[in-house]
Amino acid sequence: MPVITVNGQQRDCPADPDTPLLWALREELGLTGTKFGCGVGACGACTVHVDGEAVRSCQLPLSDVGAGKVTTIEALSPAEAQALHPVQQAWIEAQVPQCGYCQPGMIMAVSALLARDPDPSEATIREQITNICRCGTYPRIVAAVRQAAAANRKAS
Amino acid sequence: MTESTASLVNLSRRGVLAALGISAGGLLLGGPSALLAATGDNPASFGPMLSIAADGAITLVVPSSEMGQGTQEALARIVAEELDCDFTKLTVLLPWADPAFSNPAARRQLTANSMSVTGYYTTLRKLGAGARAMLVQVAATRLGVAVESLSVNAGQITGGPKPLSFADVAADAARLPVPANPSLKDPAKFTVIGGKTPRKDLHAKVTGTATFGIDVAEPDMLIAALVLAPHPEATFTATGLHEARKLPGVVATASVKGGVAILADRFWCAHKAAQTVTLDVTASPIAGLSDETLRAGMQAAFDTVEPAPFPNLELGVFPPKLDRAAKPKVLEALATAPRKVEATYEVPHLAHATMEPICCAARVDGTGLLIRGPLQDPSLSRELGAKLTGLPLEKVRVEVTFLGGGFGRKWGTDFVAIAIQAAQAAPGRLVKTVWTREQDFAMDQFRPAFAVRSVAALDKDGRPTAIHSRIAGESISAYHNKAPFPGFEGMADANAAAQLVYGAYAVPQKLIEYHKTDLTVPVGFWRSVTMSQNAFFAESFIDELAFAAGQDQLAFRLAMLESQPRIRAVLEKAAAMIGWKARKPGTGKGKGRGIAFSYAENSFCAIACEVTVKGKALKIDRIASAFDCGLAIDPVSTEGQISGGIVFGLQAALWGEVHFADGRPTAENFGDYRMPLLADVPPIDVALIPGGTRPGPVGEASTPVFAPALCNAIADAGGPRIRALPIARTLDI
Repeated sequence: MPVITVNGQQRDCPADPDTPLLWALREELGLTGTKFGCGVGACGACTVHVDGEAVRSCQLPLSDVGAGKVTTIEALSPAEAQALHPVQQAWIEAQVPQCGYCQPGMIMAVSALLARDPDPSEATIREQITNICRCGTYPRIVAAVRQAAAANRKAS
Repeated sequence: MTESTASLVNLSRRGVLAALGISAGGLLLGGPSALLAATGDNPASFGPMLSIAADGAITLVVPSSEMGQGTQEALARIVAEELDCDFTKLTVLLPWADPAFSNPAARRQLTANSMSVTGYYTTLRKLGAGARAMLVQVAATRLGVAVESLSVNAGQITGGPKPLSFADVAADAARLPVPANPSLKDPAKFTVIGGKTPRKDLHAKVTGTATFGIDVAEPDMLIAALVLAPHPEATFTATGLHEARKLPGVVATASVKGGVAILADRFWCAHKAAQTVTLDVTASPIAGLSDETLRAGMQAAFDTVEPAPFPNLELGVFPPKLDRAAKPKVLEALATAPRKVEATYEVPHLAHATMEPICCAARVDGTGLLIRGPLQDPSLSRELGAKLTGLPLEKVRVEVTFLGGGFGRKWGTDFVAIAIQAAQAAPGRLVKTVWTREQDFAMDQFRPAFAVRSVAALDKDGRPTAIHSRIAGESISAYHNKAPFPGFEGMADANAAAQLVYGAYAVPQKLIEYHKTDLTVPVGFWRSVTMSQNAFFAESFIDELAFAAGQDQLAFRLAMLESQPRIRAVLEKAAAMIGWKARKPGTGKGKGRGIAFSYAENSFCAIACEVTVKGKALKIDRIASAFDCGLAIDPVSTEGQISGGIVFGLQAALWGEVHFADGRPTAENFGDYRMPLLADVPPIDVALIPGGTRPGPVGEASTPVFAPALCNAIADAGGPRIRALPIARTLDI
């Protein structure tokens, strides 16, 4: 049985090894914040972190997760922090979400970007974040990423 | 749209309390009504939506479906405003199907046509105000003071010998008769309505805890994956079912409308098993259909189908007026005009592509049928459930989750029927049907393709004296067997024809006609429905007339809108935002600006945009929109609807096109149906213009306006006049 490290815990995943990480997270571990959008890695709704990098989990078979440390939206902000991640906070302040379905993936993609580039230019944000939002929340996403980046700088 | 009390349902108050298991002491109010006043004992139209617990917690069931448009927040604000409660203590519940939750404007519980706020507004105000009056009455009695001496703020009743909270008086207040006509606030004193605090649903949506249809789960739940024929009415033989049943995790298979379902304990098992099953199609209503046959079908409709007329709609007044055209007069004006302009246009089929693929859960057991999913039409879903199972309506419970986008797709109930049929194969267990993205595209209910032929007469000064536009394309009403809107019997399907020529323009002779076209493609309601095609046709043609007249496109429009102050205001504002300067159209020399508008009753949206065109290369530089929906209940969300609606319209204008070949749509996934990404979206500025004390429709207002604004800008830049969408057929972007 595949065993993977998710949100800091070793978890048994009694699913077929070819099951995409997305479905293992959702159905074996009950972590439904990670969404199914396209199944082909095109939309980014299933974005999680593996060793801190943004990964489209519908394209990663359980058998390939190996020792990778998986973080999902549910644990983006560690429980001990008792506060939302700066990106989540910025998302609320800028009132980004509409239907909200793509936003966990969007937030995971953005938080990974900010982890490697704490102060991205607008051009970088537009180029690097390639998740699809059908509600068209993009204008506020740019504003919110810059807000989160500013909060990061203040905190550090 | 007129308010109606025809949907009022006289429910026994005790029955309602019992059905909900609400403990005594809580406050439950129906919408106030004449019924209630007459009997003094019955909650009225909306039944039990509001409760106040002994600890002061306020719970509101919002009766409409939340699919991103912000209905939940808006309706909660309306109640809270009149209730004068502490809004932070108000918790919103997602709805279930219940006649008591019907939208007074629709007389049904459905979320569509941008009518949740407009339909529920007055009733929810009265609900909040009625509850407030009852709470204050109890406080006044208890304190021995006059009601008038008390005031309420954030759930605290002050002005007496001691302050009381809602929690202190709620239990007694619940026993009072509900006032039939509680006094409502002066809108000038609104603070919750019009406030800019973040929506209540945002926290759940940024933490991944919001439950969408696809997140429905319970122990022992099964997942159904589908194998679908190319049309819901296609006939087929399935091969491989027997073998599929033996695959790991597979529990059962089922025949469903237009295909088969494979039920397994996990999605991946069901999905893999489904891929081993093939359907050999024996007959399909769209056998052999292709882009070419579609186009030929519309051509044939123009040539052979007698056109049905549609009235001009004067939506700038309330209630809207109908103006039936005199065809002979229009034709005569065209025949005798010194100058005529003619143009033909076309738009393709469009997909909804909600981010949450179609899904729905259902369970059939000894107690009845449960349906739980992302539903725009819980009323119809419930009726369908009763019909398919043979159960009485009261044995069918329908629970609405958050919708991961709706845009009209989840108004359809095709997927609900499939979910019920799948569940019938595993009685006693919840079965969640999950469509793949490929199935979501292939079996969409598309925005129909349309073609238009327009002709106009200009007088010697370039003023339009007559416009005659004819449209061909599939009827959504016919596909769904829907009756015409009341008052429109014998007329063209409004979903095809309405506002093909804008009634708002003071053109003496206007005629809209529809050549009904039978194509049997599954079609449905796509954000802004009629306007999604007709704003492009109407506002492109008016722009072409401005070009023909050699007059500035904004001035040309304004000259025909003298009696439309609110349309003028949004046009002038959008123009100012983009830096519009009057000049001869088409002289932009590579830099163009275009403008267009759309309108509904109490809702007016103008968009101006600026583009750069170099050869075949198109760049959208800036977009500005001015919007007047009367009173904006939640202005930040309203702005988001306008900018988001523009992005939705941008996708359709630039890339949106479903192709057909060999009797099926060819789009499989997002790779075949390009979506805008962050890098594709130019700066969008939105200005809200206050337009009175009554809220108007919001969610569909901006989507249809972007394509004509953009195409008009391209022509102004000296680029080609785009008469067929999407633009990517003609230009590179």
